[in-house]
Amino acid sequence: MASSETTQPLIGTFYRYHFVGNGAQFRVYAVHSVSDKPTGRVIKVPLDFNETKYVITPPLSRIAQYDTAEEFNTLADARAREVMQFKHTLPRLLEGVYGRDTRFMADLGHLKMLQAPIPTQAIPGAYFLPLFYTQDQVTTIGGYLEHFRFAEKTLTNEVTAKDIAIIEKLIRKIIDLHYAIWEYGFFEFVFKPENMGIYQNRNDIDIIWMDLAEHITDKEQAEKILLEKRWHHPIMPQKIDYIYLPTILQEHYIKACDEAFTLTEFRKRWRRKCALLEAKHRRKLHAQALLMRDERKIVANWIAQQNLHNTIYQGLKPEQIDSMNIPQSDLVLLYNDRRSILTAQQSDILEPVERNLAMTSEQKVAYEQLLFKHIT
Amino acid sequence: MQNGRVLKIPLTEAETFQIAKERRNIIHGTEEQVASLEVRVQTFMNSKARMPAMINHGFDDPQPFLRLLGDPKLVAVDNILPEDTPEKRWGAARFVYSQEKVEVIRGLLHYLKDQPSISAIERRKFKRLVEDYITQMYSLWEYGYADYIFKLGDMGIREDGSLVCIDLGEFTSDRQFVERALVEKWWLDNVNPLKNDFPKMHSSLEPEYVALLESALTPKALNEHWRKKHQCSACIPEADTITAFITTKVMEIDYIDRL
Repeated sequence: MASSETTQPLIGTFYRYHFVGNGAQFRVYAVHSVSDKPTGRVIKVPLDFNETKYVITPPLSRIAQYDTAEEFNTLADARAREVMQFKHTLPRLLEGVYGRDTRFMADLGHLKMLQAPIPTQAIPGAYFLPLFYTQDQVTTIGGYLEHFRFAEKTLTNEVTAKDIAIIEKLIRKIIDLHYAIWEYGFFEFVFKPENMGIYQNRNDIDIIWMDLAEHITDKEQAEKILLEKRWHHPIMPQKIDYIYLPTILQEHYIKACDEAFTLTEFRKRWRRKCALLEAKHRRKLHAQALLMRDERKIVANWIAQQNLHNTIYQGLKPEQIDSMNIPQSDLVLLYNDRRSILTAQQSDILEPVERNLAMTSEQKVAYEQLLFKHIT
Repeated sequence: MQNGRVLKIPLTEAETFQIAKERRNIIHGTEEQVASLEVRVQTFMNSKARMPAMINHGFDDPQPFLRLLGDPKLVAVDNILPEDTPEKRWGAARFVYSQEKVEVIRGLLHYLKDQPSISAIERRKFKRLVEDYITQMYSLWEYGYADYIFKLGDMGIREDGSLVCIDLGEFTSDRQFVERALVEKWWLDNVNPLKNDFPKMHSSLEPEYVALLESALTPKALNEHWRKKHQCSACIPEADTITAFITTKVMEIDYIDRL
């Protein structure tokens, strides 16, 4: 995620919005009060097609195979559409029993949604109906890891025992977060550490699933992806769509992930929580049926039992709708703000330097060969 | 929605086109396709366009009738649907309504279909469901309306066991037309493997379903129930004449789904 501190905040009716950064899905703004005090929440503003294309173009141009600019343009259009589609899966994370599960909602940084019609400039009377989200404000992994760039194990003043303990805890928490979301039937399929965000409380840390769009719910597909070991990508300097992990952490990170992300561990956890929730609701319906005498009610209860595997995952409660009362005019302002994304800068300045150092010329050639093999 | 209701937003013409493409529109009992996609899409749009008139029909006491339909309420569209554009067009089907949120029978049919066998208890419950479905059809007829598609999976059920017709785009007030649907037994689509948009029941339940509907959904039964409770100030003799004229015209234009 890129970020900029230079952009002036947007001044809304009740709030000020400080641009924090953007990915390929959303622009993120920290929500501050009128007196510019952080509220502890961010608002995620969906990128439109042109913005998405703008963001995905640089990395795509480095890995895609194409002969003409027109060909590349077609590829970029297709990729932008694909990326935009991921956003449509987000509301299901808040529906039904998911939205009522305190632990799961905490893992998602208390994600809430809001929606407002945004008038279009192009067609009079027409409007977009984008979904905005608010979430707890956290530190990005990129920013957090900056401290460990170029650190050497031998120089004890650079990385202290306390730092190592915290890093071990961080890696463990990343793994545990993946485990937790597997239990709810979701699979973060890119294994990007930067999709997680960090709460820092004095000596302790906690993490949330910050960028939630890259997930699937299909078990078979998840198992195939698991075998690809995508958690190795953050140590491949050529994988420019992943944050490059500080060298000092790599060995430990990979070892821990290799041990944790196995088919056995996955199968042990996949939809475990869902199964428990379904069983609990089914028991409740069954108990109700035992007390029923009215045949029509018994039939209705029977049908409810058969629909349970769908119905408990449906429906939004008021708690999932954002309650900050962000006015519609502010949402229009945020949606139409195009300054930030164009001026965005890297917050973790050392990351590209460390990545470039790691990417020797031999590796570059080897990677290109591998890529070529994969594409053909 | 959070108030125990659902909001139904009509598909645009382009979306309807996508759905229609996936369905087989065939003459009942044959495999013969009956209409072009464009004509079928227009028929779908017209069916939707008839819904507000049914919901707002001027019954002296509309509540018992509306309860059969899940208490639908029209919602002002100004803040929901944008103006029609070439890409997004609702045309005459430009309205939104809310309805009670109920359990849908489609899920039960899927479950039963997947079972290796059906227990005696489940068989009894299913029989009760079909009997209630027949009663529901009779109740609708008493108000002068009929579901002519007979898609069992599109029925809903409340916690108290009362049934709800959730798909309001498949109704007619044209008695002649309903009679034809009964004579031709269009309700057999629920067990017709060629009709892939109808959720199917377990094959062992089909004979009982067919037997029950065979004896209940007849022109004679229609005659006994038709408009028995239709008390309204809207259907004055002049209006009947106009309605008959309009019905004839609509039948000429909008005939495809009726084949």
